[in-house]
Amino acid sequence: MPASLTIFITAAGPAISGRLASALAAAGHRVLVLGAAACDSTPGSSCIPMSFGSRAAVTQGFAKAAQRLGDADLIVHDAMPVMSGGALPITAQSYAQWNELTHVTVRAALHCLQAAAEHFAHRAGSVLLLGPAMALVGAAGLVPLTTALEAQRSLMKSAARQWGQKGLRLNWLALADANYPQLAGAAIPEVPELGPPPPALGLGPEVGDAVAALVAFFGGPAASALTGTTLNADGGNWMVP
Amino acid sequence: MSDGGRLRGRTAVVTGAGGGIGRGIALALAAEGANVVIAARRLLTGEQTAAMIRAERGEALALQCDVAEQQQVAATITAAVATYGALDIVVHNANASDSAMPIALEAVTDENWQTQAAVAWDAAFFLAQAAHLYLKDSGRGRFIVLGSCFGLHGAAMNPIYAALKGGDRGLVKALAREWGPDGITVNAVEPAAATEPTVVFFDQHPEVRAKYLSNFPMARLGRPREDIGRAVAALCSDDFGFITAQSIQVDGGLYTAL
Repeated sequence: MPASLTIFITAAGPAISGRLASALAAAGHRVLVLGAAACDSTPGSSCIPMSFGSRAAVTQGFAKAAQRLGDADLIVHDAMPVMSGGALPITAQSYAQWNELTHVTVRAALHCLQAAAEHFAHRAGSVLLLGPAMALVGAAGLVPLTTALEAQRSLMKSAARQWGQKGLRLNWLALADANYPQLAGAAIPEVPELGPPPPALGLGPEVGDAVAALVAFFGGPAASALTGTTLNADGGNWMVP
Repeated sequence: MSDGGRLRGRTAVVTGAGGGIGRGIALALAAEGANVVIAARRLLTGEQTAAMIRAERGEALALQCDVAEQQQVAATITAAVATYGALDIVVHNANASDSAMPIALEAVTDENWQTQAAVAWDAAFFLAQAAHLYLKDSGRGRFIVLGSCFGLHGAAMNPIYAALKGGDRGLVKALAREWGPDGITVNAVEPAAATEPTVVFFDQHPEVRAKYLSNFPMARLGRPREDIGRAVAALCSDDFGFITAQSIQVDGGLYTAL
């Protein structure tokens, strides 16, 4: 059994955070979810309502979380927005929809990274961003979402470069698309495989014990050499270079 | 114009074409026979590019366009079609003027983000919305975004620019899937070029230039017209009609991690 970690999960929506928090807690880690809609599906004692609208709000949220659990070893940010509109051609998007999915989403990640850097200012730590594997290949109807997700992945790399020598590591974990109800009905591409249908493992791993173990791995000493990297936990679909 | 006629009869809109890489692209497209609409925030610089094209007997129209303004983008597309009868190529090259300014991630404000993102992303959104039907009608539509390898590897002191360029890669991949059935290719060209500010900076800091260029297999930066512009022109030609959803490094071999 690896050492118990203190983990904060920030999430705009509830799709991933509740299940991940439960699995991490079941594995013996101390976990708090921070977000607004994310608290809808997470027991109150395990969630702190928090806005992503400003860096100060996130900083305050982390301070509250630290008061309750102590300082974090790992901060996990679910990069996926709530995305209420579903897949839509770019020509059918309003500017308000575009703005919400791109700018608001990336600014939320920016605020989380900035607040995380403050939280880890005087000690080593780890930040892990989560997103659907779809963003690595793109999908019709999901232009703004793919744009925002890939931007956040790049932002993670810049942060890893800037803060690495301070002992802060940042990485990206791509999860199977089926974990995201926001993607239901979207034309998610699969690798054209004439053998067994993808993914290679037969199924994209659901957020549960196995994904929780991967997440915790990034917070532990075994991952101390990793920063700026992308790990694709989609069960073996596209197998990106 | 001496390069050839691979784009004769086609019409291209190039944003940020009042200088630097955008000017190089505009010149290269015109050299291949394209009618080039130069969308420039300052009309004076756009007119200068147009004059350079006309001096080589090319066809050009300069328009003032703040690409962060949806109405101005739509008006530019409308004017291109009204002037030349069709639209075949859109090249979104414009960047905010402060996009090259170093900034630490912890110092980035929402305003910093919005200023740069409006030019890089909102403009791409506006261009896509305004140009789609014309590019579809073209039957050989090209939508090209100027990206950067910063989007691939991140940049410690330029995190906004890197994030926007990383996002461009996402935009290209998704939009290519969306528009492929319409016969439109969507790609990113990721250059490493000797633009005017780069040249000035390196002239002032020769030691930085030497260290930087040591990472380039070709030991130099690209020339806006000859290296970057011609690559974009080639991508617009029929020779490259089956390439889409790609981020193409035109960087002298700098980024090799893919």
